[in-house]
Amino acid sequence: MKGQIFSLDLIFSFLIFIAILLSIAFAWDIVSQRIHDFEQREDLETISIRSFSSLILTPGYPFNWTEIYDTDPDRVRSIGLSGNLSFSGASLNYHSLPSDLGSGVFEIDESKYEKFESISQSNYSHTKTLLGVLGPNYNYFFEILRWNGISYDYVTSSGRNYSRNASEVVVTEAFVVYNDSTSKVRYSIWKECLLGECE
Amino acid sequence: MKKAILFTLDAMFALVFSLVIISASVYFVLQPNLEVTNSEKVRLISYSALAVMEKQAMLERAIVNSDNSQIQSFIDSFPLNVCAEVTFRDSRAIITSQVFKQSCTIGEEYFITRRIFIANNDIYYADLRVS
Repeated sequence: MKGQIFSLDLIFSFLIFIAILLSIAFAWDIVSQRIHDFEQREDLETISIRSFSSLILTPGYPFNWTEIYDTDPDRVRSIGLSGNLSFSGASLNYHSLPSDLGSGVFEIDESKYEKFESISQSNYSHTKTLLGVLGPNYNYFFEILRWNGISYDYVTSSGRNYSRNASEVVVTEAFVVYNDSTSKVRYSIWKECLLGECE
Repeated sequence: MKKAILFTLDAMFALVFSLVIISASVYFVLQPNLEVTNSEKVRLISYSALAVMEKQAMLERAIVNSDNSQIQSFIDSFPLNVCAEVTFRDSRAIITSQVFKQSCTIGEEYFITRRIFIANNDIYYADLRVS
């Protein structure tokens, strides 16, 4: 006659082993998800600050991209909304510096903004490429808000606004002069939900 | 015949050790994520805000009219998570006035942006501390 022996400590050790195994699997799953979320967030944050800085702190490349775009859009490498940053020709009179310089850093050139707005309506994907918003299902939304002395009034916007179908949104803000008014620009980079991702 | 359960000391140690490892793992895994650093965003707000205050002659008017109300309402309009303080100094680096964002205290880590401007035929410095 054959018999099987299950001692109590064997059963205990088996249960503990299973508990540890399940805990590791559970922790692995959570940590993997967190790393994925963190990496995605970092990617959006990096793209947001880089493309936003390029947009409001540079005149674009070439600097006269608004003139070139209609005839040869492939020659435009970067979109920038600030005016000419050169000091050549500026008056030495302190009070006349801003106007002599045209729109400089942290000043949005109205004609450049209008062109940017027009391209973002007609060829949104190309503006994404020029801004470096290249991640999967990434979108941008750019708003200008005018300061009324107390709060900010909406003026205009470009790009695609995020709605309920956004899985991640990164918002960056800066102050600028637009149309001689103290304004704030808000730039949002957001990721569109893939099928079933946000349900 | 009576039955007995035998617990050896090393088995007890192993059990306690396992429970500690499991508890610690679960505790660390369930900790909230560290917030993604937003220092670059705060720096951009700092640079741009002081540049705009200078371009729009808010700094100059504050000195000429001895009135900081416009700067006060401007820095009060900063994003909720941003604290700010503007300090004016004259050409001898003596503080002439200060403006603080309301209901806010500057943190231990902050950015300072400085602009030099002319008002009342004198040189002034404006420092914007933002955290």
